[in-house]
Amino acid sequence: MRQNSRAITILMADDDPDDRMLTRDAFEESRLRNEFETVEDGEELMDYLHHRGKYSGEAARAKPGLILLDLNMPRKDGREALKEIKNSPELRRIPVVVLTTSKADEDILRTYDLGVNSFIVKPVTFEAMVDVIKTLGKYWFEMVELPPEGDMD
Amino acid sequence: MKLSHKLILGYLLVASLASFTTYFALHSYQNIDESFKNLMSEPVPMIKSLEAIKDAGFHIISSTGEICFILSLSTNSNKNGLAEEEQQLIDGLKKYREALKHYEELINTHNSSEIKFLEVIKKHGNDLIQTSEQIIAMSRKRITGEEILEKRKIFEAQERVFLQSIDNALLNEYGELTNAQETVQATIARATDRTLLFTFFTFMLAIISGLYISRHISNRINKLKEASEKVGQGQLETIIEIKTNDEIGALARSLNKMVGDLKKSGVELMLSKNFVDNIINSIADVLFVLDTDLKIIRLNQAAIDLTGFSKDELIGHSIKMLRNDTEFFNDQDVEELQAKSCVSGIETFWQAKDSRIIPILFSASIIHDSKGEASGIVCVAQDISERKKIESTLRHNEEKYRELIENANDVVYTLDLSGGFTSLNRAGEQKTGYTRAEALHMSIGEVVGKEDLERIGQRIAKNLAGEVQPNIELEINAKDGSKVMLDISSRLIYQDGAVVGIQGIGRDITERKRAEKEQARLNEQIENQRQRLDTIIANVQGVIWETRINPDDPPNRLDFVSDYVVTMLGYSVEEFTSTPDFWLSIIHPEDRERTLREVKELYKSKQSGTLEFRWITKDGRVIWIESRDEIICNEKGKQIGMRGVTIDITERRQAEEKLRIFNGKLQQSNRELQDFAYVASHDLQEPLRKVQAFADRLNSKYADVLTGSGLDYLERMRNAAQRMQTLIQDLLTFSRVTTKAKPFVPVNLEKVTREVLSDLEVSIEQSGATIEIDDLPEIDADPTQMRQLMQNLIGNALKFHHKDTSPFIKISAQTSENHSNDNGNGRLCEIMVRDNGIGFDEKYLDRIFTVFQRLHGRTDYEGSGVGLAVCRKIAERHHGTITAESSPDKGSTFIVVLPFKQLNEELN
Repeated sequence: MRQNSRAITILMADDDPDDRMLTRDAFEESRLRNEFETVEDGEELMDYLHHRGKYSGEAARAKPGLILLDLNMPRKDGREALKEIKNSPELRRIPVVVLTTSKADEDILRTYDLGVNSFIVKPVTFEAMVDVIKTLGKYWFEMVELPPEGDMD
Repeated sequence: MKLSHKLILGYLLVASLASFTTYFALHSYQNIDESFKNLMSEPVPMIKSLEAIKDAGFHIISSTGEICFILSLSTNSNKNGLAEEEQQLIDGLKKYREALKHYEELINTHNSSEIKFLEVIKKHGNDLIQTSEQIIAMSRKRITGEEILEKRKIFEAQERVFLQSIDNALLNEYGELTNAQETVQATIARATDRTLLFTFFTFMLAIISGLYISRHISNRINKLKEASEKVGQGQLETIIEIKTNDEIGALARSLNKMVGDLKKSGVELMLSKNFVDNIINSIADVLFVLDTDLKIIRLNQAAIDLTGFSKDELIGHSIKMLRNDTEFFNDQDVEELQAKSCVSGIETFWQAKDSRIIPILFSASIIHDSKGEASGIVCVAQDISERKKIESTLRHNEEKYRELIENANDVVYTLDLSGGFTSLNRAGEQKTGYTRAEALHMSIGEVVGKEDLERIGQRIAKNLAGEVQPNIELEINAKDGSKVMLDISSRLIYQDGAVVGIQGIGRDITERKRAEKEQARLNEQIENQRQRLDTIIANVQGVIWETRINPDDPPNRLDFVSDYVVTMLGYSVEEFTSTPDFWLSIIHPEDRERTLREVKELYKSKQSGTLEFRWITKDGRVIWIESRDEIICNEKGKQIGMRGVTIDITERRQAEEKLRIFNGKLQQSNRELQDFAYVASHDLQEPLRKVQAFADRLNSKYADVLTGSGLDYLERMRNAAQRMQTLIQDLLTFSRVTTKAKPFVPVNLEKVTREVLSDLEVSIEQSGATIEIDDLPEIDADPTQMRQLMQNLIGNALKFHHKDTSPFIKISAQTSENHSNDNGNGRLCEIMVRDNGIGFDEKYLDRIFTVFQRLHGRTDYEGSGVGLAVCRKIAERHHGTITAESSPDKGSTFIVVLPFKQLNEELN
């Protein structure tokens, strides 16, 4: 178990403001030390990741260490964004966890096909949500070795 | 004319011919000689002349050459030689001119055609001479080189031409010479031939005349010789026929006279003896003359021939020797002969020398001398072996004939004029049962039936009147009462020109008659069947057809087509069978190729099959056709045709089409519904989750701030949201019974139930329930839905229990027969879930199976009221039913009836 000294950002993409709020609350409850950022849809997500549009001045900002991705979003949905991320050489190393209300088999299969790292159905109760966030943090930041931040080869 | 004169004349003739021939030969020789001389006179001098010209020419040529040569020498040393040569040249020239002149004279003398040669020779000769002069002149001038060479060449050419012209003339002369020779030879040949001919002729003449004369003489001498021999033999009537006036003639005449004299001296006596002998010898029968002791004293040639004995062996012996025994001409015969003095017509036999038996017809009579005493016996015998042979053959034939009749298969009989039997053969005995002895006492009328009696009588009468009757079929009553059918032909029997009876031959046709009856019966049966078949075919609502067909090998024939073709297509049977391919020609163009191909494949496969295609009726409508075809094979298994039934399936296809379309719509509707349900449930659930989530937050974060009622409100809110969620889930489940239906597979109900029980373990423990399961069968069903069904039913049974009583649930099944099911699926399975719970009033039976209908308040028993509605939907989908029996507080039994077997409907 490695203690992560860097401040790793967890980025959530979800169109529902309530869900964003609840997740942020759950995040706080879980006492993870990471930064928590949110974007509203797939477009914003890509802008964030590529440091453009709204985020064009943030070139120095480090890439997020984990992306929590909702599937059904306006403008660009999670599936498209996932495809773009996993096809982009500079972004595809970022672990992506889909966090969605949908239980549909096609969604699960499709996203795994696209290369998603995990698929989690949004829990119903708040406590369960806190649990998920805690586990996510423990799993992804303590157990798992993340790809080191380095330049592109 | 005297002989000597004739001879002399003959010799003279020959001699003169010979001398004439000689003269002719000499004359011919002279002619030849002369003509030869003549012919030779002309060409020979010509040749000589031409040779002279040639010779002269050579002189000129050689002299010219010499002169030139000498001139070409640089030294003047050979002046003499030159002069010599010049002189030679002049000589040559002179000779040439002379020879030429001579030739010309000859030509003119004979006026012959050689003049053309002369002209040519002259010309060439002149050219040559000219050139020679030119060359010599050039040489004198000491001209050398090209000029003189040219001249030399010309000279040489002219020399050749000159010589050639002379040669041509010479050839011509030689030719003439040859012709002359040939002519002479021909003449010689002709003369030779003629001479030879004359010589030959002369020779022949000499021989002929010599022969003639000598013959003439010797002939007559022969005649004389013969005549005298005849006279010597006693033929005194002989006359020598030589009437010439010469010496021989005189001889003949005197001989004749001599014979005439002899005749008169009476040798006739001797001749007459021979005469009698001849008679005796020439008769064909055997003649013996015996003395009184029966010894043979005379016999004739026939006796020798017949008996094989020689004359010496017979003469002097007793006639009895002609037989080995003593039976011939025994004492008894002798007595008889003496009494009658003549016996005749006795058939007996002799034995020849080689012991052959010879049958003879014998007669004898006594010879009386002039005093009337018996002096001998004359016997005559005829060889009757031929006659005997014929008699035996006749007897043999007659026997054979009799046998034939006896052994014939047919009845052969004869009747007398009143119809009584006069004979009956063995076949007749067998068939009628009467012996021929019995038949002889019967008439034909007694063996036939009364009806036929008259027919017979008429027939006999007509027969006797001379009318020839055709065959008649009669039924004969046999002795044992059985009946025999005979086919009788009869004819009259004649004897000495009068009719004495009737002969009849009867063939047994009993069997044939029976066979005919049987055949008629069978024919009637066949006719009946045919009529039945016709009726059937007429009533079938399809075209029944049969064809001898081979799609690869026309012509085909359509053997049979039922009348229904008129109803189906509007074409008459004649139109339909007008061409073998008519059926093909009225197929819809789009289907034609495929149908033909399918027919050919079917034909090759030798099996039956079904074809579908479209026909166009006479009035232009398009109808769908299903043709059920069978291939006809012969006993070797080779295809020889097809037969089948063709029906109009237009309505069926239209119905199928509608169904297909409807199914499609249904499927689409289901899909839309499913999508809608999914989306709806998803989107509907979303706000609920939020409500719950925030209610939770409120609870955890601000529980101390909210007072009791606040918390209570919060609780109610949460419950409401929860209920909403459950409701939506249940609705989704309900809709999925149709939309997520899976195909039917065999499902073991017992296994499913046990799985459900294991899922409900917690509830079962909590309620302390006892579950009993009987054997449950396996049925065709949707496994998931069966699970849902059992879960709902058992879940309900567990839920609706008395508060103080542990639930007791029994699950069982039984089989029942299908009475009213329009699916017609046979056996049904009845599943029963019985509990001892709270029960219900059966008047609510319908309500409980309706969606969202509950019989209790929310607080009493939870649940959204969808469970039983889902169960009913599942039962309906499985073509079954669900019902319940219950009364309040007495528990309930829920009965689900499902068919054992399901057909899997196509879902597209």
